[in-house]
Amino acid sequence: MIRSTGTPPPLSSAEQLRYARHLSLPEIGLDGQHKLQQASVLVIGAGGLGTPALLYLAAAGVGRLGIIDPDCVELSNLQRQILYPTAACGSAKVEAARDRLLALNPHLQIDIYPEAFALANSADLIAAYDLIIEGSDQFAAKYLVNDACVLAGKPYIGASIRAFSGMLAVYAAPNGPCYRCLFPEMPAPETVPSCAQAGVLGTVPGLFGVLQAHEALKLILGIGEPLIGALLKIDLLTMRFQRLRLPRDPGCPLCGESPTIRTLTETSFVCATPTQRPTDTLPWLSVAASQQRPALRWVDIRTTAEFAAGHVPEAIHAPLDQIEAWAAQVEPHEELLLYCQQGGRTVQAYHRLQGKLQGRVSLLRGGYEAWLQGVSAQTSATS
Amino acid sequence: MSIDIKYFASLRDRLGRAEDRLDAATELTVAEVWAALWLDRPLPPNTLTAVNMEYAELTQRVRDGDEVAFFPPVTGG
Repeated sequence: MIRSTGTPPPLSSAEQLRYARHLSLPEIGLDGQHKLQQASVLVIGAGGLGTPALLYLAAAGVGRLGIIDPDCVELSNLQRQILYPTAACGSAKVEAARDRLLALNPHLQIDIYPEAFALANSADLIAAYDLIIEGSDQFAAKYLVNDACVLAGKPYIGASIRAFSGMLAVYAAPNGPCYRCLFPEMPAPETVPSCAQAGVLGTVPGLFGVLQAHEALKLILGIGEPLIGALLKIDLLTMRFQRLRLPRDPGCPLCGESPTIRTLTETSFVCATPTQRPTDTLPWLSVAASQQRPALRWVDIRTTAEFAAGHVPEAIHAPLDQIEAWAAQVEPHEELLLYCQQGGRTVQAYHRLQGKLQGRVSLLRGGYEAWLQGVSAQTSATS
Repeated sequence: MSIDIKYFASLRDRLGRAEDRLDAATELTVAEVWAALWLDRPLPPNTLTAVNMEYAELTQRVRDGDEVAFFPPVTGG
């Protein structure tokens, strides 16, 4: 994708040593290393997928890396987001990532954007890079990245993971399919199960993030067969790798022969972390406010496994998938406080209970993790 | 005619199983395979369908010994 003309400038002695294992490969060599140096990659989402991808792109010497993510590092990220040290908790992810990547390879330019990838910035960001790695955990962002890349004619490497499996493909490449060729419309929120807190083994996003970086390097170097027109599906419990052939859909609403989507639109998604959505009108209570109301009955709506791993003392367990049946037998006077892991699933529970427990249900902002943070702050203050 | 059916990701959780086998007397399309197994349950919108690991339209005919797979979109990152 980068066209070099003539002989590339020589590498410094330090660079020759750093990239020695690239330089000795006939498929890379000095020409290839120069292509990497001249290339720019935007990584959208510095999380489970984005962080391992960034480490390998930086190590490989990709000259300019862009990182966009609005979040701060949290303790619950560290099980899989291996770029961050414990001491980075509370710092902006993009800043912690930049520091770590420059420590790994000081020859790079790192651009950071501590904001969400959104309608307002999407076109400019995509235009500024050769290639995009999509590592978001939100459908709205996945569709926005896809649409922006197709409209700009920029290929991107997309991946999605869950528990012990995932899928990976290069989308929006010339003659290749886009994400809407597979899944034309964004799923309705109620059809997506507990997106806020799907569990995952840390190595699963690690592997997929590394594969995304790997495909990016292949595309930059122009080597091998990139995953264009094919979807790689991996079940990491059984180690089954499957390649699904995936031609471009002529009827695709975005990249097909008579597209109906011609401009970018933002589609919000109710499953965004509620703590980042202060504008909704749901009856949220903070941990501190909840603790001022001793009459509140705390209700844990997470799975049996999550409840067994730890819960608020005295909380009763009413898993989300049985919440309606449970609500039918609640005493008429009881005031309830629902909590899940981070708050996302309580929104679903609230909608499912509407009309049943009118005016008697509150939702714990930030969920069980917010409660845990309160406990750990008290413990460190008293110890 | 025997057809192997595979379900992935959240679809697997919602249906409570990872695979099925269907013995059919007549030739079926992908859509008819689903309908034969899940009479009262429509195929969720936005489900990717494949026959023998190749993308397939719902109208594609399925042959004896084929594997039909249903994939929902996955969001995690």
